[in-house]
Amino acid sequence: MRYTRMISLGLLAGSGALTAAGGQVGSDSTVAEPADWAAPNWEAGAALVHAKSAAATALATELGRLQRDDPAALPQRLQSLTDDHTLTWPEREAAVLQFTRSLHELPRDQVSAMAIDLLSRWQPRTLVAHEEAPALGTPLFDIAATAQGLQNRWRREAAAESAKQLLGEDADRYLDGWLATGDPLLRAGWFDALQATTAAQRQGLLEQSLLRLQKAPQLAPLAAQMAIGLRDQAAMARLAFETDPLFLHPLLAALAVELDAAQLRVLLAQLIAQATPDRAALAIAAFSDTLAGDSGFERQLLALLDDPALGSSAALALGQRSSAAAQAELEALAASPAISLRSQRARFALDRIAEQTP
Amino acid sequence: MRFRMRSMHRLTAVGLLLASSSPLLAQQRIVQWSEQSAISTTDNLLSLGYTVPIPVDTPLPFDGFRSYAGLHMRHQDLVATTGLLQAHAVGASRNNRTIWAYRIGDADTTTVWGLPEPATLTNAGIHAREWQTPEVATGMMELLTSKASDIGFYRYLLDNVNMTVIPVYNVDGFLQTQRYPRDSWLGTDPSNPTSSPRDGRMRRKNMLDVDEVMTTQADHLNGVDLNRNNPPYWATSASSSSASIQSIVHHGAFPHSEPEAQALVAAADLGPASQLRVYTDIHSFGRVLFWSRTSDQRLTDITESVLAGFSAHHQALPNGRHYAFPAQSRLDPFLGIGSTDELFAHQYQVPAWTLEVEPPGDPGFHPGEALCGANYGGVVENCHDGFILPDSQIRRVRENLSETMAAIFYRQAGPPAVTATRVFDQGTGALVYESEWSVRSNSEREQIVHQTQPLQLDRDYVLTHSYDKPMRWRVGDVQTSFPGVSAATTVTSNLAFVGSQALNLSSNNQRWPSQRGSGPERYSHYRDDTTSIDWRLPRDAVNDAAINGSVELTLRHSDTDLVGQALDANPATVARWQGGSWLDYENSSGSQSDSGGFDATVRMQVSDQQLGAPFVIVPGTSSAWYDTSRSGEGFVLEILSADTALAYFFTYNSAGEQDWYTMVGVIQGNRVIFSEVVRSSGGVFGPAFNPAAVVRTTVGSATFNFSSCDSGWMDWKIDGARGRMELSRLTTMLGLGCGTSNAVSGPGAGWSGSWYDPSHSGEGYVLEMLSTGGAIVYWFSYDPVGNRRWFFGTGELVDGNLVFSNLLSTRGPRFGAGYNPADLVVNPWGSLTLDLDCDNGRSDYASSEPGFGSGSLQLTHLTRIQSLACSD
Repeated sequence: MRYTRMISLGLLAGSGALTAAGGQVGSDSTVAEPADWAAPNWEAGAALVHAKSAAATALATELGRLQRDDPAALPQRLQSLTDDHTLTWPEREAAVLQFTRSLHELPRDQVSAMAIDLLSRWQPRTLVAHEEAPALGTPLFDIAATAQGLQNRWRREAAAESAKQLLGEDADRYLDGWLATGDPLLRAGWFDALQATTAAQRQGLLEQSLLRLQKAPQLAPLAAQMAIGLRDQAAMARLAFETDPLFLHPLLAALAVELDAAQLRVLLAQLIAQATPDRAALAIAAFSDTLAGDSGFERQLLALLDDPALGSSAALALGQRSSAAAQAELEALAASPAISLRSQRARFALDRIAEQTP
Repeated sequence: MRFRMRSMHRLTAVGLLLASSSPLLAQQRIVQWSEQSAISTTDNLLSLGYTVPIPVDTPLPFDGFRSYAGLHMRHQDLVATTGLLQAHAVGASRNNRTIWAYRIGDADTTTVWGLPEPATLTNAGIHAREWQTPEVATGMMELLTSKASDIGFYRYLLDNVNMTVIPVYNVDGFLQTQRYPRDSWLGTDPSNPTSSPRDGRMRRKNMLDVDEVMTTQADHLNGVDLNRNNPPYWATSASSSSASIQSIVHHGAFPHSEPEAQALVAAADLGPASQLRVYTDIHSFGRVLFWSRTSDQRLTDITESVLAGFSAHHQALPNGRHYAFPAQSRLDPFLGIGSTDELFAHQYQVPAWTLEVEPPGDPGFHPGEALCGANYGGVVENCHDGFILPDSQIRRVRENLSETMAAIFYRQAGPPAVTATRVFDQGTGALVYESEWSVRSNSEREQIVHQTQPLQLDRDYVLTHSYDKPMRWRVGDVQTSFPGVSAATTVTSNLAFVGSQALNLSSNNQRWPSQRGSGPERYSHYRDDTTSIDWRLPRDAVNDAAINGSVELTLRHSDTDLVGQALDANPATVARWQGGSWLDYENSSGSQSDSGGFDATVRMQVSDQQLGAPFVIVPGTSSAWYDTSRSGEGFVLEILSADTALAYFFTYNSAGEQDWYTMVGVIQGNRVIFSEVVRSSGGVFGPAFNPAAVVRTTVGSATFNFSSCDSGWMDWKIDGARGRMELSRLTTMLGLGCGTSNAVSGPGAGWSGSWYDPSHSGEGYVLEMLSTGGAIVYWFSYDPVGNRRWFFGTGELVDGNLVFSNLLSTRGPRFGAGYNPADLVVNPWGSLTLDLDCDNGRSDYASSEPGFGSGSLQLTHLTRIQSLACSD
């Protein structure tokens, strides 16, 4: 797939669906050919002068008017810009970019889907020297990315509206829909929909999701969100073992606020004993502010110093904040003539303390 | 880093200002990055559309970004816990913080073959806001150090490549971004005030002339772009470099004016610099590979090929992404911006490049893909959101890029070379041909060839080739294509010629042995560094016409490594990096190249005669053996059964004092494979001997090969050093024949073997009853202070006892390659009498050497030579 910039062949690049998830195109090794990138065709300063011209402003205004009064004509007008040689490309692209951004102010159902699709595939023409590689041309006006961001926002909004409808019906339907929605962007919309729910609805969702959690672990982030919102300590503590790693730190941070010191120490001990090291390590990080100076917590950390996986987490937590007593114990450990993992970690903690000392 | 977005948003802002949409756009203020999905032009928020990542003080990798404290703790802990990472303070930042570099791999800088290790240098965190990059660099350290128990690709890298990483180069700037993970100034950038966020989360430069308090506005733009502070193109670009300290591309006062830049040079010296073979500067974003072209066409071609390999590998990974890179035709070798990749390309003359981590930012480079934050569902209020990778993506990015960087290191470790070619007789397991390349210097290898018998037509053999690196890839235990490399490019080929006449060959059942060791079904150092194939020269018209009597066959062998690099066609000269390209990486014509070719250095005798089976080890192989050029040291070999042998190596240490080793091996045809050479220590001579104090330590391995009853060769590896010896028979034992030599019978033949006193386990006698009459004994023991010693002498049978009236001791030659037989000094030691029956006995000794005295031991017959019966 040797890419050649199709400057003279048309306004828009590509014809397939955008690869919002990052352009996974399989394992065809022939894509490793170098790209024949275009050279710059405008000097940036000169292009900016054109971009500020009255003609650019007029075109932006024209596009805005078309959008308002005759949106069906908008795609054709956008495509016709390729041949509109009365304007320079900086003038045309500056206007199109300004117009694209202005679409963010409009409800999505008022914008021509075809127009936004065209904009999201905009093939840039005003190419200036890339600052990191001056021999290569790079677009001055990032029309496509702006349109793509708009499309994302609309997809999320649409997902939120769908989810709200289901929430109005019953919790199970919402949960079924959640499970059927694998796209992270759409799930963000489903999260957004929860903002409009009542406490009773959220409680119902939490209970239902916890009931289904064993068979549907994908519900864990949703349950965690509910539990945090409802400040349901028991549910939060359970989910600390079960939620998706991506949602773990916010959950643990919420737990650090909700639970008292004794409860946090117990939960931490359980995570250390039963959960994976990365989960327990995040708990140490999340709880260490709340438990700063807590002697029980410090004893837990000191006992962990020789743990192959968690010793560094303990050392860091002790190095960030620790009592004078804990520091004395660290110094004693570090002074041990026998070099051990425990003494090394104690030294790391002391190094960290020293770094923070003014 | 992606920079042009400043321009885009300037225009965006211009347009909006023209539309008079918001007075805030020109206002100087601190704005907050937020998740808020809707774009707002009326508040001080920059929407991402996804959660704003906040660094967490944790050392372990997770689905998010670690704080500097967490990353640094992780690095130091990997140093402490893995033994595969060495920390080096290479300099200090503007604010006097230590800049750390880490060497990944074993502690030495020598390959397992004794050559200087190739080096790589990877720099991350040069631009502070590019949080992806310290995570990727740390991911590399985590991946590689987690592979200590690997037996293939990764172990090869750890043993043979010196991989230096700077995980957080611009440490002051990085800390500033983490101090303010949500905040940036807007409206203050001199060039792009309305759209280019500065300082806080968007700080790029170092902290020259700026405090760490973001709200003090007057200095917040200051600093030096560390990727503009380097020769040879420092301050030469009007568009990409600036003399203004407030510019985001300020180049500094002079080349390498910044202490961070000097630290980078110090890190390169860890290679050392002369061994450097690739430099990578990790940035974000854009998902592109920028690189610096020089006027050296070979370096240019190699760099382009390296980047092609990177791109192909990464895209082929699960969830892989396409990294684009410009063709060399698009680059100007005389144009630069003062970047670090230019420094390394032009001055260090290595492939040097800028890895711009995702997301993509340019439709020209990634047509059809969502750009900037839109790639992750973001709303792209400002394309600088590309610097803020969502938490949800960093694990994949970190892990995948670490794997691909390892692939680059493997490639630049060097082209593959054959280290040994062997032919085994399938029927007997005997080694009939061996060509082994032994490193003689950093630039030369010596080919050592042994052939025990000409190859015969219509006889079944196993042909093996060993290489100096793993040549195939596995997922789990299944061999498969290396990511991004077509299976069609990794094919083994063997052709045979007599003169210019090609022979017909039958080759089938190629395999890559899964067990380490020595033999037709064993790999050498790393899994997949050795291939075996069933091989036969059929007796047909073509071969009959070409082979008359015994003639020389030339093998033309080709293969490629994991990434498709062909063999160094001439292993006699070591392929290495010099002056921007490979040196002594010969092609098939023997010319210097960067592409290699087929290896035609293997030549062996082939005969049209029926010669029968090759020599195999028999009980009569038991003997003392030595290298005639190394008088004064040698081996005593005992064949104990059809498949087990014992050997004693009597030799010297590096100081010229006596030393000895023991080994028990497996017999395969005409070979004995000693996978463990054992050094005993802790014993002392005489009554004070305590068997519980004896410690036996495996220090190496050895292989013996016999081409006939009276000759052979061996190689050893002890304490990392290597050596080889030709072997000549020194003795013939009573009662044992070999080949056409018949056994001579006589009394006491069954006494031959090893004897020891069970209360002195750790020392003992090795006795050979000789076919010429009398006996020879070796006593492997210690001196009174615990140094290993050995004494030997010949004796006579006197009244039923073996009397050795003149035991000798030696000293002088030094172990290994520097051995000089002229240094040998032989001294009398004392006398010994052995009173033996078949199973037990007694020894009485008296030493003339001070400190040894006299005494006796109660003996047990420890080992017996195969086929030597004993009757009282």
